[in-house]
Amino acid sequence: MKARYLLFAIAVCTGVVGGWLLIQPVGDNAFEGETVLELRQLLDREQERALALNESLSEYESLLADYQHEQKAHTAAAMEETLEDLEKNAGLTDREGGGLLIRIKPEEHPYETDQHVRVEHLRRLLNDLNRYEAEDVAIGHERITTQSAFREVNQIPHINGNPLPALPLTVYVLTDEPAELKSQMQVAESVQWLENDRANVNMTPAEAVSLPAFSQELRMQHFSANEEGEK
Amino acid sequence: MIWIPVVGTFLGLMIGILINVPFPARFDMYVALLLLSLLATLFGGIRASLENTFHTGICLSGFGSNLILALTLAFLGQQIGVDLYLAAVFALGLGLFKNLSQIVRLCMPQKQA
Repeated sequence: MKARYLLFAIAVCTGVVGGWLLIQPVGDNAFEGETVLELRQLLDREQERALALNESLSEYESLLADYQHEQKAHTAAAMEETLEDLEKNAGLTDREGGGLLIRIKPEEHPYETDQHVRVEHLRRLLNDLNRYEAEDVAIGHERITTQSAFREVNQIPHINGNPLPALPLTVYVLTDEPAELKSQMQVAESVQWLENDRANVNMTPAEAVSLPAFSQELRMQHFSANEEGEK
Repeated sequence: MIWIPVVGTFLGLMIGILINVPFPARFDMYVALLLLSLLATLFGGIRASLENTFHTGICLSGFGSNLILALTLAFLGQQIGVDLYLAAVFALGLGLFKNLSQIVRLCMPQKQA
């Protein structure tokens, strides 16, 4: 009889404990072990860290892209600037500015028409102008560069391969100090030579002198085009 | 005879569900071991009563010693990070099935020789 009561009591206890376990929420955090909770917390932390790392990664990537873009733009701008400077120095661009106009007119001579200036005189004139620090020079419509050739064909002067018209002829000179250049050129030897050769030389400082660009192809004997990718 | 623990278990289940006492999540392993010890004692008690060898002292002391050893193993295992409670689960579970098979055998009608 006692055994029955005891078994009944144990059975009731077993049922109570089983009932407790039955009603515990399944799948809730309260029912999960500490390890799972810790793992979940760790996962959350790592996900947050991954998110932060991704954000910083995209930030740095955009920064890098900006830097590359800026660098390219900067390089391109510098190259364009250099190219412009080189073209300007080579005489490949039109130029305007203050300067000196040198007009070479023929002396009045009843029996001679189509008087041309001699090439040697022009060469001397250009030498004198360069010596007195003229920036750029154009004789008639021909821009003088380092590659300009002075030749005489059938007693007609040619510059850059083009014949110069008969006198009167105007020489355009760009300079920062037109008045000083004028005073220096008035006593220059080349002007004396021109005047000895029956020409009148008249010099006028001008505020706006425009020079045409060098129209010929530049000869580059020792240069070749750089292929893309070569260094 | 067999209906007493069945009725008791059913009654206990009703009480447990109706009382609805929540316990902290970290104790669920200990509660499970308590349930296993109770089941082992219940099955052992049923078997002993069927064999007419039931002894109250042995039943209660067996339950107490089983429970204490199982909880100690679980606690120690949790402290050192090794799942020692599995040893208790294995041992109690094995006893449970052995007792059940014995109960089933005792409940079967005896063959006439």
